[in-house]
Amino acid sequence: MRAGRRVGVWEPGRAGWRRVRVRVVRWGPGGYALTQVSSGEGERPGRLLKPRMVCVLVFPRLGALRDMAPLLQVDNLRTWFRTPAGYAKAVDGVSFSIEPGQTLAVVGESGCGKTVTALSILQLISRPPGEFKSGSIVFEGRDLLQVSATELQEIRGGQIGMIFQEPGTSLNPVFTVGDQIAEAIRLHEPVARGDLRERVLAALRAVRVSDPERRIDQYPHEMSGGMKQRVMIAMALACNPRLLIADEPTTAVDVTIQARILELLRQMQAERGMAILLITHDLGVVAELADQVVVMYAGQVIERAGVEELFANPRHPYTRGLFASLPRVDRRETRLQAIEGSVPPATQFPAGCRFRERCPLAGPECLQEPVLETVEPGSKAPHVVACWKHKELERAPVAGS
Amino acid sequence: MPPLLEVDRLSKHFPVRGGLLPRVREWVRAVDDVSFSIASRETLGLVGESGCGKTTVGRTLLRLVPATGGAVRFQGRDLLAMQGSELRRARRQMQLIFQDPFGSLNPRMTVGQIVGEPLWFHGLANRSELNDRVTALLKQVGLRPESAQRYPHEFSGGQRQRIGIARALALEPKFIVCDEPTSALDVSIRAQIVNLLQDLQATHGLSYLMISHDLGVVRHVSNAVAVMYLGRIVEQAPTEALYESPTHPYTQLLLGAIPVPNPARRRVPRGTAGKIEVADDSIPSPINQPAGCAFHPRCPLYARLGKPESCRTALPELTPLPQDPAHRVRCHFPTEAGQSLVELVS
Repeated sequence: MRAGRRVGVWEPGRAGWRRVRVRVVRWGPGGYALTQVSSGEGERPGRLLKPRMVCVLVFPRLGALRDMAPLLQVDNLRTWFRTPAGYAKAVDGVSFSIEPGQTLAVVGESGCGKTVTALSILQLISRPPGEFKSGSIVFEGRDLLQVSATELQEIRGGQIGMIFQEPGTSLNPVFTVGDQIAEAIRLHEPVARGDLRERVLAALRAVRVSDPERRIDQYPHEMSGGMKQRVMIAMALACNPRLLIADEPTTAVDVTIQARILELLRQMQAERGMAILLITHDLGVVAELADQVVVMYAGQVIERAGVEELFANPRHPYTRGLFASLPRVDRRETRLQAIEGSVPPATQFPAGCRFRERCPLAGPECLQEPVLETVEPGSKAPHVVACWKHKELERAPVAGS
Repeated sequence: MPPLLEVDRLSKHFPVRGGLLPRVREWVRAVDDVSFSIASRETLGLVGESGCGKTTVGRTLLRLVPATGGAVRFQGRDLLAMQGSELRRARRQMQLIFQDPFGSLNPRMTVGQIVGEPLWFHGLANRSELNDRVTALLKQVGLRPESAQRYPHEFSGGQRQRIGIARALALEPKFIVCDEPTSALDVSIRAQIVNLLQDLQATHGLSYLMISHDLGVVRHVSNAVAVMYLGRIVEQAPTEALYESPTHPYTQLLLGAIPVPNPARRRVPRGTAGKIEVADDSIPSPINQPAGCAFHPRCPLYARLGKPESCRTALPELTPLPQDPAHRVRCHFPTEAGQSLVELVS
């Protein structure tokens, strides 16, 4: 349900039904939803009710339909950039979907298009030079490539929250973190000034920031990297998004802090039932957090599977190469098996299979572009791979394991 | 045979100035009482969180910053006392590879100039020899000889790291400080660079000080590992001993924090939330170090043992373990710490 939807509400202590605008905080069984009333019908604009939690009966439950469909469905997305050297096909025919409450990890090296995919979902690609050549991004029934700018504003930061890799550069150094979280809330909800501080404190408490009453008035430079990332998460979650996009959320922090940030994301997901789109190159983080995994290479999805299936039985030579090239803390190998070469620039992707120039198995058929084939049907999500040679890899032991 | 490099009680304190009339108010104890030695053709891994002083150790022992105290002996000679031409000759033997392959190469110089500059500076090659030497160096690190005419911006991160390695090799050093050489690189490229460093070690007889927060890379390349916390080494052991039986609570915390790429071993089962705690994610500052053991405010063992007074008041010494003298730990309760590992595993 969108923020600002009008429903009838029976509130204890008030006579009769009133029509108010609500925001669903959490869906309960049978069409009940815990919501927050943000303003009353017929009241003058600017005079806002205090936000309070009420339980409303929303009937028919629109969410029931939506639970059948994925929360987010990206279909054949092509985000290209016009450059002097021709089109950079940063994202070229990417499809995946995320179910409500699930974690989907997008894995790949820099230059594989994972960040551009995330920015495309949020429509944060500047046009020009960016162009959406094809595809659709359907979020809760609406194609984000088609909706109006105002609707987008409401979704961005409202129903889709986001956190970025560098908490240091994503926070504004001249405002206190409290001001910045308050801004994120006020953009999406009409909250009275007097109540705002309490809302910000609640957001900081939710992400387990120690001593929130002191932290709220601090500037970003007064905080450690881990604490800044917590503030970013508080800001992203302040409006109870249905989907959180986390772009390399722990790449810039130490391992001990990383463990706590991952734990925090897990807790937030369990408490709120939100879905997470996790973008990372760290397979350890993927194993720790993801339900589904999408492996990207050179702007395309080359393999997609449930996390246990993918780690037990990777079928694309690139995925196997990633596993084999990892130096591990839990065992020692004599020599790492590196993938030779590097990802070609986005303006010069080879025709056919884009991995063929680095692939130990490449043959003449690899000049044809491979399509995603199902290798393991799976109950919920099939294991698909785009490789002509995947049968040769079937059940072959993964190097190094 | 004496070790190639011996570091004895090295310390580096930086002054913090402040106030109306700037004067030294406090000291940052970036490196305090650090001792280790590296044998010829061996690698010592130096690990720890950001701010623990591991980079300062590397820079101090190369004399890029003056040391506050202690001694560094390189090939048996006192490095900290060297001056003039003696120091210049010693510096040929020791080189540095940097973390950031973008910031550490001069964008206005061609690759040939970058790699050839150390040779030219030390007067080791005339103009006609220089090109051949540069070509040979580029080949050694897996770059094409034509790269010499190009500029750094034309190369990817992994290739730039190779350029940095070629520059470090130019003077045929005996010892290289690798400061996070793979942290800025992608997984597949990281493996290429790690393999290259290992190959070069074998062919050139190099010794490395591998400074990294990537405990996987360190395990892979090191013969021995030292773990630093707030300027001090808290645990030091041969690699296998350190990873198989980490004893200091901080080492255990560090190793336990690394996510293992195996979904069957995730720490919290899917669909559950795990434990909830209020986090103070801050590492104490090296200016106002906690009294006693610097790690005690974060130490799980300290809490479990009922907050013993000794942890708060007395700084533990780096002591060899009775069962393994090569394994040294800076903890008042090494036996209890060793036992807590058994509990963690079971």
